[in-house]
This record gives sequence, C-alpha cells and structure tokens, in this order.
Amino acid sequence: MTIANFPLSFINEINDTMIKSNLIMSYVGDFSQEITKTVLSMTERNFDAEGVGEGVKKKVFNVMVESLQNICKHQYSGEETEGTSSIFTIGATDLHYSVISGNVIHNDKIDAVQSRIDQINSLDADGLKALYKEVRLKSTISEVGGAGLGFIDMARKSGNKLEYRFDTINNELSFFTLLAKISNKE
Amino acid sequence: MNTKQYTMENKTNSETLQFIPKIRDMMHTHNFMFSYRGRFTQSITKSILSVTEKRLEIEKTETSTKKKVFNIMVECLQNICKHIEKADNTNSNAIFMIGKQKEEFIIYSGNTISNDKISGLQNKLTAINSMSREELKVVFGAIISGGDLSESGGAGLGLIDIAKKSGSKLEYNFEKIDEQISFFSLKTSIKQV
Repeated sequence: MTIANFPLSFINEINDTMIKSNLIMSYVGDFSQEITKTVLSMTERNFDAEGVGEGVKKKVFNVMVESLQNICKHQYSGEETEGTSSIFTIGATDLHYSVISGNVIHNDKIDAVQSRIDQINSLDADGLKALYKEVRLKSTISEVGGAGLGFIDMARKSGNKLEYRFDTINNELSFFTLLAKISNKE
Repeated sequence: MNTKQYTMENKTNSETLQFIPKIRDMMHTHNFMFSYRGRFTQSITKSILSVTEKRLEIEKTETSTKKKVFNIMVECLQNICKHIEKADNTNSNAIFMIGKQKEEFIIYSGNTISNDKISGLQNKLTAINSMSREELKVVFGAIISGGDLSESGGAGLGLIDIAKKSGSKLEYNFEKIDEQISFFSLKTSIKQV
C-alpha cells in the first residue's frame, strides 16, 4: 500500500545527493550557540565511532568552530523569510574531511568576501600567519568578523585552499557556500 | 538560481560544493531542519536527539508534543539500527531526517533492507495502517504480554508503537537497489498538540 501524494522519493533524492557529495550530516535552519554545541558534539561522536585520530579530529573541530561562527555572524537577519536559512554540513572521503557552510549574504558584500578569500588562497603558511597578525591589529572588536579573521584562521587550520561559490538569489541576495578541506592523515 | 562558480586550483571538492545549495534548497523546500546519514550508533542516536531537543526548545514546542516526537524518533532510530545491520554490512546507507510543516512534525527515516524481508514488512505495515488506535493498543499489549519478543524485535512492535504514538497512518516506500537490497523509507507525521 502506498499513499497518494507521497513525497517519499524525496528522501531517496536527498540520500543520493548526500552520497554523491560524500556528506555525513547536514543541518538547515537557524544557528544558535546551543545548536552549534550539539552539532559539534555529534560530529565528535561520529568521529569516535569511526576511530578518527586525535590530531585530525582537533583540526576538523577547529575549522568547524570557525565555520559555525561564520554562519552565526553572517547569517541573514533581514526581513526576507523565504529561502534565507543557512546550512552546515560535514563531508568525508577516504582522503579528507570537508567542513561546509552555506548562508545568504547581501550582494554588495560579495566583492569583499571574494577578494579576501582569493588573497588568502594566494598565500603560503607564513604569508597567512603574517596576514592574520596584520588583520588582527587593524580590526576593532565592533567589526564582528567582517575583516575575515575567521577565513584566515580556517585556511591556516585546514592546511588547504578554501573553496567557495556564490549563487545569485535575486538583486539583493546571494547564497554563499564555503568549503574547507582537512586531510585525514595525521 | 543563476550560478557563479569560482574555480580554485584545487578542484577535488567542486562537485560537493555544487551540491550544497541544492541540498539546502531541497531541505528548505520540504521544511527539513536536520538530516543525518552515515553510521548509526547509540551515541550518535543520542546526539541526534539532543540536536532536535535544542531545536524544539527554540521553537517553543509544547512538552507533550516534544515527548511524542522524541518517542517516535527513538523508535525510528532503533529501527534503522536494527535493519541496517542485517542488510548492509557497511552500516552506512541509512538516513534520518526531521522537519516541521505548519502544525506537524515529520520524521523520515530511510535504510537499506534485504529484498526477502520486504513482503513481511509490507504485510505488517498494511495491517498496522488498517487498525484503529484502540486496536493498535490491544495488539501492542498482546505482543508485550505474550512475551514473544525475540521474534518480534523486528516483527513490527516498533512500528506499532510509532503508529500508536503518532496517531497517523505510516507512509512508506520501497525502492529496489539491486537483486539483494532495497531502500526502505518511512514517514511519520505528528500533529502538534
């Protein structure tokens, strides 16, 4: 017996998409401090179950914290309610873990975000360290993360280039996806 | 959605990257707040419950609804743990999702199942869906007091409980993967009190 108007094929679709993109977990909605904490602890348990090494676990965690903070800071807080929720996901392949965040941003912020990430990606470890110090000295507390300290930190801790994309939603907003990859070798 | 993709030197993950907005759209459109796929252990089950708890608190959900949602989640997660073990030794192809649509919570679970178990399961689901709430209570009591639990661990006690607690019919689907296994999805709706 199958019930009419039954959108269950949708589960298969999500499951398939998650398999294709190697995701183990995804959370969509509003991000609060509390949710962030439980998402972190769930990932920890998953890592324990998988027997992930301490060094890798710590790296992934540091990057997750930055990524979740980025969402909390930048998630859309305007009046639009349709299609503005954020996503946080973790991916795993044989070679690496991916920490991925997606949130809505104003189009006029795109250039600044993009040039900051491009700059970060052009630097080596020493360059990143220098940039981190420079930005930290210049920024004031009130500029909540706008200076991109979080991005620099993510790049430093993940040890890989940051990957990103912007998907235009309308004239005002876009969806910003950011991925940091952490090698699962100690 | 127009797409502007910025290709990096390191392209290994670009495929993943491209799926994220899609997944988020799918989840958002169907009002899902959370989905987990992968290994299901006791402690992961606990974490999934606690993420949901925090979310239900944020949404100021009524205690009695919260309790129902929780009980049913536990049953669904146990079902996943039970069935996946037998069907799929990698223990990874299972998914759990929870969402909220207007005045009801929706719990989806999906896991692989051996094809030879399908007709048995389908019969149970059909029988459960044909029963009233009173009948479900009677059957549930009979199974428990009959002590026939070893056989009925997988024999639908959990499903009866889900139907009894949710007060809604169970919706389900089997999708064949290959000659050995299929993907079984189950949807339960819980009306908010």
